Amino acid sequence: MEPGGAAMAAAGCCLRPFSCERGLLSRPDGSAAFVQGDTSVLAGLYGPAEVRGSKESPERATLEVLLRPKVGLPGVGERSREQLLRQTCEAVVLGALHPRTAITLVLQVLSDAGSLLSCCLNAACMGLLDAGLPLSALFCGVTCALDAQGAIVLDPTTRQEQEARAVLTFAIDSTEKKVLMATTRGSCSVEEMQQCLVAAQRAADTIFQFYRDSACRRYSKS
Amino acid sequence: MPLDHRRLQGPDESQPPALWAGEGSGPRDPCALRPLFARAGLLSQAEGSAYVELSGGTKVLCAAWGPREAAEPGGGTAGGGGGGGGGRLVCEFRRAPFSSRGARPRPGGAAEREAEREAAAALREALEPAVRLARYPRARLAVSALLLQDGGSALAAAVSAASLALADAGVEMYDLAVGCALCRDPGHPSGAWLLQPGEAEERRAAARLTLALLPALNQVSAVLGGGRGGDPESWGEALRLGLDGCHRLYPVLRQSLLRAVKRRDAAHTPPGS
Amino acid sequence: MATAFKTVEPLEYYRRFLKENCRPDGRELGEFRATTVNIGSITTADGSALVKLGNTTVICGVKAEVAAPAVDSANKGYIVPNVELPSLCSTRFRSGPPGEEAQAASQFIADVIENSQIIAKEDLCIANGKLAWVLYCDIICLDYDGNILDASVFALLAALKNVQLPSVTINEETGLSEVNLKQKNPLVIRKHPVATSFAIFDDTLLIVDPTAEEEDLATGTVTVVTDEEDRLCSVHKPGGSPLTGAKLQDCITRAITRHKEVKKLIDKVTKSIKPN
Repeated sequence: MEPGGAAMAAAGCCLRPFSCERGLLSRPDGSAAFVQGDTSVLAGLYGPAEVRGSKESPERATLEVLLRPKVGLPGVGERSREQLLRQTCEAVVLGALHPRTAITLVLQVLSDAGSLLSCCLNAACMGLLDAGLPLSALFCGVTCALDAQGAIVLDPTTRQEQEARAVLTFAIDSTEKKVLMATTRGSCSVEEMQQCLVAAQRAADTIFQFYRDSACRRYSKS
Repeated sequence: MPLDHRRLQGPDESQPPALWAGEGSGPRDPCALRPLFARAGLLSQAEGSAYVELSGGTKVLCAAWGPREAAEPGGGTAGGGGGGGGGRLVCEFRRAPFSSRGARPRPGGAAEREAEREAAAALREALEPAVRLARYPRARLAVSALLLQDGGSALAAAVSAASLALADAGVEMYDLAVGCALCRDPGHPSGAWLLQPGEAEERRAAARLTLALLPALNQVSAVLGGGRGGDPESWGEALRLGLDGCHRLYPVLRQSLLRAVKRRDAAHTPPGS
Repeated sequence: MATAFKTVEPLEYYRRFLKENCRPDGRELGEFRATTVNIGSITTADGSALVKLGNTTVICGVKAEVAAPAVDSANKGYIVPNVELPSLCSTRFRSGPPGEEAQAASQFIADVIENSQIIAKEDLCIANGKLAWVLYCDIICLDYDGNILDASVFALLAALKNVQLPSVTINEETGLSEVNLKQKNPLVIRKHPVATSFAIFDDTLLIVDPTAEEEDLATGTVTVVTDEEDRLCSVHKPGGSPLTGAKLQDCITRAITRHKEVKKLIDKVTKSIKPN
């Protein structure tokens, strides 16, 4: 098993082609649709807006995330993902600038073809940018899958995820490439996790460059 | 059955492996009161708590919280309990899914919620006369009971645990409410009532009765029961038996409360002062 | 004086302790609370365990039922975990259906079971395509003082080790199942996952086994689940302050040490109830 050099070189830019469209919904304060390969997620952001009494926090804005699956009602898995997304966003949003307000992020899964959580993370970040909320850093989501031989596959499709031994999703922040969120499925060794982390951090560079280009394009037109 | 989206689901239907291995416990003295274990003050997050264990295996844990702001402002008009401007007692009774021998009830199912609501109402009925609600106007006292294992006489144990928990929380009370359960075995032709039935006996019973008594004041706060109990004298006999049982259980509960207070005192006073 | 300061400025109060490398309850930053486990107390359940991690008390009851296996996995049984945070464990939870924290914890436990392969679902199959065991693992928190995930995983592991399943056979001629209650077999536990939780303070300090107050003041949490082969079953970092790869590695190393301590405890308890 050679998980080292060969896998690294191949993993370099193995992300599926991704694209993003911002400001496509008229009602929310910010909206973005992020497409990674065949997976696409639509994010709508409302806020800072009025908050209901019990949830009000006098020091910071209250963030709420709602994740709607493509079919069916949201269940326990969606609740768990909402918690992950909410705490990731809370870490970057400068909530102290908008105390006693509520920021609501609604994510709708349009199609799921693998790497759904990282697509949600990217859509959420683009939505936050589009809404103009003050952020301390940007973040992006990267999913890595470890196949049976131990090779790292970035941004796996559904088929690759099912056949993989382990699937790890990281949210990397833009300032120092630290890990904001990590969640794993399947078991792996400690070294493999560290290698996936390094690969994810490298892939994050590509995504952040894309964010920058997208912002340039948007604001240079208008 | 509607899908419960807030819990993880297994298969739609499942049955327990056949297990009525009814331990027909042999004939026992119907008036024998089996030992009860009670301990107060064991949860750190609740203001008052109590754990009661009966020798049939029933284990009940109860937590109580002292006066809180009432949810709705209306204290005097239709807002249940106490009348006038007294406080409200809010009770909750839950069964753990693994508490009953036999099939696991689906938590959150309609039948389950209905049973829990009835038990909570019964609990409230039994506790209200014991608590000095008039001292807590416009306030809400909360009691939450959790049944960990059902070995018969669950509601009676819950009543005892709940009053211990309230006392442990420092709520002003007239007296502790002691609960006792009886059941009438259809097999016994003489129609003798059994005190503190076990789970198998309760299941087979033709009639069941649960009593709550305030022993020091010698006042009954709740009587719940039903079934084919025979003539009124038989019910009267059952009541007397139950009241006697309550009186005998009272010292055990008082002792546990005293011990809890001593423990709390020892924990708070720094040594040597 | 100290209590007044604690109420007004809880974070500053806490920082004073952290500067001296200790915590208000006297523990070191890397020290766990006293862990006790009690197995087999609930006789109506097929397996049960009560775990106390300091004040945090969690009870897990496992009930086994039989059902027809799913169509697409005819040789697999089911394990259905559910975490409940009733109103009696803490004032922060309301009575009613499970809230967000309970659901997230349930999902976490389900993921740990799936990732670590603690029980192979094929072992739960009785007759291919016809009958399989369903293990309902209900984890109820009795006292919430932080670090609920660690305690739940530990309680689940201890309860599963305690489960005795009656042997069920399918009579070939009649097609009915026959249950033999006298003959009971324990479950085959393949792996022993152990969870270790950390709280992140001020983006830099890592504290092991946080209490409820510490969790409220922390800026993030990390939970690492390892098994006995030092493999990672789960790294769960739901947002919060960012961490470098090196800090994450520290957490994992500490988790591996903790695994050995917990495994010793479980073995001791299991051995003590063996002569039954």
